[in-house]
Amino acid sequence: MSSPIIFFLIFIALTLAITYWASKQSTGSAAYFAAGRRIMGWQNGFAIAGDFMSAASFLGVVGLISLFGVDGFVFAWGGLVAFMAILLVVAEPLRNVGKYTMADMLAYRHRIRPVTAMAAVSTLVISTFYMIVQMVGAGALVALLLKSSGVSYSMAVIGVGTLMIVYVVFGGMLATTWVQIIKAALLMLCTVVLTILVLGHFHFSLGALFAAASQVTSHAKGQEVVRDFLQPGLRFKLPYGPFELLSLILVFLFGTAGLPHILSRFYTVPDAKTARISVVWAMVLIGAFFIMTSILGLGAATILGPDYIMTHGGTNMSTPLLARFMAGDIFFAFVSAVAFATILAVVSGLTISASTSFAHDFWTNVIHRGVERKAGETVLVARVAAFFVAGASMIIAILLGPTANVTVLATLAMAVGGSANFPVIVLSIFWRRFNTTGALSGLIVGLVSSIGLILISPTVMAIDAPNVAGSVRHLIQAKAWFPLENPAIVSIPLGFLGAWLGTLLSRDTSLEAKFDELLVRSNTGLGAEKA
Amino acid sequence: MNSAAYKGRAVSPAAVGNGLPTGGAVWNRIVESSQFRDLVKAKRDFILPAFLLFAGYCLLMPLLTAFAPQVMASKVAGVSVAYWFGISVILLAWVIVWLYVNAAARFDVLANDIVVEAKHHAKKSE
Repeated sequence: MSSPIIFFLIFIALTLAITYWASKQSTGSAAYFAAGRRIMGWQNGFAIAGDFMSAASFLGVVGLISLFGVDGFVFAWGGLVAFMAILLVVAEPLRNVGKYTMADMLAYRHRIRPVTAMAAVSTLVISTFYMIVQMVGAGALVALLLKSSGVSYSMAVIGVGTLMIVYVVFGGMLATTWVQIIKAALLMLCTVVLTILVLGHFHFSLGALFAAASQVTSHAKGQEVVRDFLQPGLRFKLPYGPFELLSLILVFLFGTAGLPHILSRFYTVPDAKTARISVVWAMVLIGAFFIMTSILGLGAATILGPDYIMTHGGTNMSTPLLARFMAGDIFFAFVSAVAFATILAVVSGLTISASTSFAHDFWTNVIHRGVERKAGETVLVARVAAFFVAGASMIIAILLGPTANVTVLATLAMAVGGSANFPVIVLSIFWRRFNTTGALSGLIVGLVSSIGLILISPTVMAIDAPNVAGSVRHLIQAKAWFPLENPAIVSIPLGFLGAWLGTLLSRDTSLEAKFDELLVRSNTGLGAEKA
Repeated sequence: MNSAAYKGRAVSPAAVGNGLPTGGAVWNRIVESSQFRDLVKAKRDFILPAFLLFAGYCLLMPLLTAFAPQVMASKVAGVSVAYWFGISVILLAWVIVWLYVNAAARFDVLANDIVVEAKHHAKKSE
């Protein structure tokens, strides 16, 4: 048995033990959906960091920097930028007035059923799309890492899907949180060790690393090219580069604050103050993590070189390849196992937020008007929903295959978070005049415009050369109508505009008085859900 | 959870059954108290400028890339400004976090006073 498998098995055994322990803890809705609201600040900080440091950042960002230099670094610091809105605007009010989901807060001052239903739709769209991305990535990655052990793409997808069902169905939020904490700690450990190894390679001289990074040799079409990886412009080229960059930073500034699996983390802590402390922990961890990824990315570019990376599995393999080069097969196996743990933890977080939204928002609050007909019904529905959500994304991931271009779905998830959820959350907290029609039109306009713009963007529309393989061909073979890959620059303002226009046009002011209640509760924590 | 609440148009699910006053007048009285106004103003005076400063600083990046590419490409200590810009965003974020944690400790005190007062008031009127 090869060593990656051994590390995988150790991690799986550990997390299954946690799941068993979690399933023996107290039962009930708050225990299942919010880990009993007893997670401590530092723990939740690690879990948030874990939710956000997906395989896309651990493997993807290092890969982007190793191919595009400092242009790739934007994807790293952008990740931290995201948490400013969460810290200052979203986390504490959400904890103060919500129960399990974003929709709880919206329900305070709008008509419950339509707004909750729409918020649940948006949550489900984001989580399923994001999950398919992770599943395809997981399958491709695990198959690549375990190629020597004979694990195929479909086997990897089924394996990841099955484990995540076990965590979520039996262990609920408590198990999911601890899987996330352990994975975040392993990820940080791994990154620190690898960073020290890379710096050691340059005799702990940043100057030497930067000097090497300013002259990276690679080959394109048989020609030798020497590029300066510290110069911007390798990815964001004119004429649309600056706009693409602007759109990207906007989606980071606002999109993460609308991601349901991040928002649901704030219900697992005892109070708003702990929610705040947990964001601080997350921001320290994520900032340090991304500074280190820049060193790893430049290290991979200089020590391995872009040619080697492209011929040994592509950008997503930069980190594991670097690990193998620096410290041999055992460390390669360990890094691979951490990447696997990362994916597993993130998909579990997504599954639980999707199933919570379906069960609590849609089933109980919309269909049954807030009444649980039998005790434990909501939890039961959530468990069944988790099974279906996970099953559906496994099947879609297998049908799409390992080479499918899934970046479009990742962009979409973030863009919907920023364009549909974020405007409505912010306006609900701050704007007295905001009403139900405004919330609905904001959610709908944000959702429709981000999906619509992506459908006519270069990620979906392009003319491929005839020799491009079927699975990576663009869906629509025509010149893109919208020039940017990321729609946020247009769809976020549209989301706000939709919410504003809907509010003014409907003239509905019947629930304005409820704003006082929301204002007091969100600012003081009066009447917040107890731990 | 109380089903009667749902027949009204917008009694929030969490508001039911935790012993808090649900009448609009009670909330309105708190909103109009000077203590609460002070709290909201103190929070706004920190959060709004801090967020705008931070967002504005981040958005400098695409602006400089568009209008002053030579600035982003010029090197400081062997590395382009574009890289240092990214590092500076992370450091600025940490500074704002630290300032916010200190400011929020003040907000907590103000908020706590309001909660104590509201509970006292609710008891008295029972």
